[in-house]
Amino acid sequence: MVGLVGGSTARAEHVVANAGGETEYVRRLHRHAPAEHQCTSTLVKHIKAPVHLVWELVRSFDQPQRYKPFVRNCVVRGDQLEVGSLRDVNVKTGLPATTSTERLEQLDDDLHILGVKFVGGDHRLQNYSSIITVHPESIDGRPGTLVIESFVVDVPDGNTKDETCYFVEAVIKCNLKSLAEVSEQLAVESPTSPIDQ
Amino acid sequence: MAAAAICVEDEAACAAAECAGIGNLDLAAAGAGAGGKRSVYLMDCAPVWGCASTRGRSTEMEDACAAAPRFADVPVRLLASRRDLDRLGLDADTLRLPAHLFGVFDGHGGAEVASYCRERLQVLLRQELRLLSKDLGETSEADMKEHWDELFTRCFQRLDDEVSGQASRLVGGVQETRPVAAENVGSTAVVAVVCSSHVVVANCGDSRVVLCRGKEPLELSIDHKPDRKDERARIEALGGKVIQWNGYRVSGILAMSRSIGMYIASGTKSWQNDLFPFLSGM
Repeated sequence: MVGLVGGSTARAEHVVANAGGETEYVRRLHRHAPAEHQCTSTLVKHIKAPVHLVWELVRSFDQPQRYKPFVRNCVVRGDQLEVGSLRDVNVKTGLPATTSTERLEQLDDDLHILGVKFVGGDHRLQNYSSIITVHPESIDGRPGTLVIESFVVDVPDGNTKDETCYFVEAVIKCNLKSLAEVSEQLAVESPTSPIDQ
Repeated sequence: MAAAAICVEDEAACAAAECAGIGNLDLAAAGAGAGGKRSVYLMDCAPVWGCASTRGRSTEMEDACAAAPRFADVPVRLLASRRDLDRLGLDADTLRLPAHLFGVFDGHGGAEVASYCRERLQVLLRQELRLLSKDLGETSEADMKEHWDELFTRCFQRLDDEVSGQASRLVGGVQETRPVAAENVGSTAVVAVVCSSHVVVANCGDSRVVLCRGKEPLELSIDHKPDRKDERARIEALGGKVIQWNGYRVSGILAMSRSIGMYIASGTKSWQNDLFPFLSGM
């Protein structure tokens, strides 16, 4: 399932924070200061796969197509992959964009935080900035992962805040659904999952 | 991309698909003049067809087209009422017209679904037409359209179910239940079944069939666009939303409101083909 947490626009759906402490993670790690003309939202996904598998997929700044269904391929500029690196993402056909240039803002392998900002492309998402965090949790007594993704973005001319949030959330939901499928498949295929996370 | 097909008749050439960037293909039709006047149901209908396609703005070709001359026989009772056939002295129960199939499948997110549709749809249609000949009772004109509706709906539904893995399909002689492609891959499907008396068109998505008769183009299909009033109402009734984001799109993502495959963006597998029987030479 994918749930919505907070956001500057009123949303009918609210996920009750469970023992995993979602609201605490959101409060500490997903701070956005949206301006008047911006919208923001946060989505959560519970994945039945250990956190190290999920994080390995999420942190692949140079290979987002490993789990993002709308990405065709990706080229990172320069040789070193570090904070400040840029990637040029090519999008699959039939979608409302063809390219996106994105900057790696934050990559913390200890706290499992990835921050990305859109700096170019034809997607109409100006000043888009997102944070993804992954957290170990227990699902049905087995190691699972809580994924939280939040974003802030300008509302484009001609669209409302609601529409902009709806569109971005739809894309993120697709990404998180695919992330769950890919990592759960990897969890099934890997021999014995370590529980040291 | 586009495909074009011309059937040579005494009176007119018919059946063409619009070509993006190339304009309408207009192949000259030679009129074959038979000596005596024959019923349109007894005339031969030899297709003269050609196909042209281009990637357009995409970096890869993801489209497919199908041309299958004489792919099946259509029971004449699907095309005319018993009373009309009796008046013409034709055997309503046994007469079958040779039919030809032309289709365009515009893939998005990948070519797998479009390629699958190109091969599979004609097989499914042939099977359905064969089965249908057995349960044609007293068929009125309204019933004819209903039969075509049901026939195409079953074919498109089966096609979609096989693409998604909900129905098994034969691959190399073995039953396969895995999806043809990932959830983000889909295709349009627009087909024209052409015989001497009729062109029957079915559509799913935003590809298009255009008839060029003489110099006047005539649209035979209606695009499934999200901003069509009835499509938008259907989408919203299912809990979806149409957002203008570089054009009107389902959830701001998909630019057509119906598709074979591509479930990830629409959030629902609901679809329905539109059927537009076009009568010619009656």
